[in-house]
Order: sequence, then structure tokens, then C-alpha cells
Amino acid sequence: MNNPPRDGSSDQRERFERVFDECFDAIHRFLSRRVGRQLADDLAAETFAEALRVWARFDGTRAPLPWLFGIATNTLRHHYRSEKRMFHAYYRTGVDPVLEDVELDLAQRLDASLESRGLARALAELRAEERDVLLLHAWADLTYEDIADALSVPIGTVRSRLSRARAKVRNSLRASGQEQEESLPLKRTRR
Amino acid sequence: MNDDLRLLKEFRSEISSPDRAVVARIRARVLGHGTRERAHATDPMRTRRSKRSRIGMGRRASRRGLLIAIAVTAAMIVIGSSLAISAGKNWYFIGGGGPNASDVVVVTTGTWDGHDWNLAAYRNQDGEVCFAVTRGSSPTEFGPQGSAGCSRFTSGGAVGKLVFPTLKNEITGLWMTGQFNPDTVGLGAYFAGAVIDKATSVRIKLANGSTIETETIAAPTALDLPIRFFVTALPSDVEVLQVTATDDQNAPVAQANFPPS
Repeated sequence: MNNPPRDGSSDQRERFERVFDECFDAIHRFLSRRVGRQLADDLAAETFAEALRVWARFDGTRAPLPWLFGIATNTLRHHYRSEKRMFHAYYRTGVDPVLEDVELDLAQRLDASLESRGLARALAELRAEERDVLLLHAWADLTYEDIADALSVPIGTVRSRLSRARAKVRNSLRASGQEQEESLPLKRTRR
Repeated sequence: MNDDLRLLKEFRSEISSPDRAVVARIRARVLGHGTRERAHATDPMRTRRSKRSRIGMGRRASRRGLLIAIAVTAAMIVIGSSLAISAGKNWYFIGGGGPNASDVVVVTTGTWDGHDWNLAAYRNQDGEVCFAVTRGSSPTEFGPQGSAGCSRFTSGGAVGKLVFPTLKNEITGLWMTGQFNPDTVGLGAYFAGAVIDKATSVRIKLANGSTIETETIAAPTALDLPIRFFVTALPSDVEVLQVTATDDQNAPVAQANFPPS
């Protein structure tokens, strides 16, 4: 990890350092939203370490961010269960686990909208590959082409996964909206 | 924009950027020690330590005290193991005395009771990987004495080493526990180890009946080994009975009992 890129060029190394500085926050926020801040630290480091390892093979004419999102998504594959647990916890409690370590008062953290809780459940119930495509589109703002490139799948696969994922999320949101109207307490008011 | 996408984007927008000190630590971990000083430039902890050093608050003296404390503690708790301190690539570590085959890389860092620690590892020239938990955000932050983090080993195997000639074995880790004197060093009991890379989490069964579960961490690419690491703080004065590593389907893939049979 401490070794320079394979071609040994200091220019290459400097370019990678610039990419790190420009892209790290976006990658970390993406990972944090998916698995929580603590694990995101590790996975962000893992993402950039892997990127550094293969940096010499990266096509410098491409934008690095979609490529990094692809690597970050790969690093998440060992942590799908953690991600699902986190979304389920958010749905059940209304407390966003990602924001637990942030200085927010309890009322503020409990003030998650019913829609957000429903969304958390919907995300937890998606298949992993559908969730990957949906979140790369919605959270990483990648185009279909970028997602296909990042995940090394055909663009048609991206379209079909995204379509299925969005349909499932919409259905789940409708269903959870009905359930919440019937069973959940009204939205809490801030103190 | 459709409701589902709008909601998703709102969901994302709640997440703020990472803390600058965290970014600096990860930058140093990924890009190596060559950029460490630059990476720490925005780390308030680093700045404070440098200032303390500049104004002569006895860093040398505190190092000496630290060394003595660790030496005394290690002497008391090392069971059936002998420690050989070696210097390789400008870093001291417990090992066989040979030079390192790789740089020392930080696997992960964290904070226990307000004290920074790091898990660092390297490969030696025998194809083995050595690792230790030491105080500070890098293994060199407190000087070579910080390497005494490998203080106690419950395995009867090689001291401070993992041997990976037979990766077909389901368990390839050497598990270790350590106990520093918290009054002088600040790190309490912990459990760190390495395991085959299909293990995604580790369950540690303690003698008091409780279980600690922690997720494994990918090995830095510089090690070029199919392993993952884990590290967790332990309650003080509680023996470890068993460690079970599981894969992403929650199936056990490696297990070790203590004391080793």
C-alpha cells in the first residue's frame, strides 16, 4: 500500500493523490449512507487502496469518480448483511443509525419521516445487485453508461435492474404508507 | 423528479462529509508514510503533539516512561513466549530478527477510551506476516517502543507470526490478546488477529458468557495475502474461550479454542 504505482512515475503518483483529494468525500459519503460511518472508514480506505493498486491500468481519459464508485461497490459485497441490518433498524426504530454519532438531539433523530423509514425498508428488501444499481444512480448520480462500466455489466442489465428496483421501491413505499397510516403513531413533534 | 428518486436523494443528503482527521488518517494509510506529515497537517491531535514536543514537555521522558511501563507489563504477562525485538525497514517489531519483506502498513486505526491505536502488519522474508496493535495512529508515532503491543500470545505457535504455507487450512490465524497497563499506556485488553479472507465477521466467546462480534477488515494490498484482520477491545480480566469466524452467509469458516489444544 505504501508502494508507488507500478510504473513508478511520480506524475502518476501525484495524479492519484489529486484524485484521492477530489473524490474521497463523495466515496465516503456514499459508503456511509450504505453501511454507516465506522465501516465506511474501512471500506473507503479499501477502495482507494485497490484503486492505487490498479492505477497504472486506469484509462486517464475517463473520469475517475465513476470508476471509484465501481470499486467501492465491490468492496461492499462482503457487507450486504450489515447494510440490510442497518436499513431494517432504521425502519423499525425511526432512528437513523448513520446519524447516531452525530450531534443531534434525540427528538431530531427520531424525527425521521415515515417516508424515509419506508424507504429504508424498501432498500433492505431489494436484491443486492438491484440496490447497487439503484444507489449508484440515485446517490452517486452515475449515468446508465457509467454504472455499466463501473459494475462491468451490459447497459441493458443496468436498465432492467434499475427498472425492477424502482418498481419494487415504489410498491414498497405504497405498502408501508398504508401500514403506517394504520399502525404507527403520528409523527413526533420536536421539543 | 419521481417520488422514489426524490426520496432517495433526500436520504443521501443527510450524510455530511467525513471528519478531516479521519480523512487524514486514511490518506496516510492508503498513500503511505511518504505523505504522512502532509496528511496530518489538518489533524488537531497531531498538531497538539508537535506543539508539546516543541515546547519541551518531556517527550523523551514520557517515551522513557512508556518504555519502562510496557517492559514491566510485558514481562509480567507474557506466558510461555519469548519476545525478540527486531528492526526492519526502520521499524521495530516482534519477530525472528530478519529484515522485513514489505513496508509496515497500517491495517486500521481507532480510539479506545480516548487513546488512538492502530493495527499494523508487515511480511517478513520467510513469507510470514506479523502484526500488532500499538498506541497512536501509526506504529511509529510513539517510537519503536510502541511495537510492544504484541505483548501476550495465547497460541503456542510462533511468536507474533502467522504462517501461510497451507492456505487450504480453514483456519490460518494466530489469535492474540494483550493487556497494557491502562494507567500508563491507555490501551486496555484487546483481541486482534487474522483469518482467511472469506471470513467477514468474527465472534469471540468470553468466559463470562458474553459474546463479542466484530467485522473483519481487508488486508492492505501491500501485504498481498488472502487474509482479513480483526481487532476489538475486550472487557478487562475476562478470558477468551473461543473465536469463530463466519462468512457472509453466517457459516463458520474458522474456529480456534483457548487455550489452544
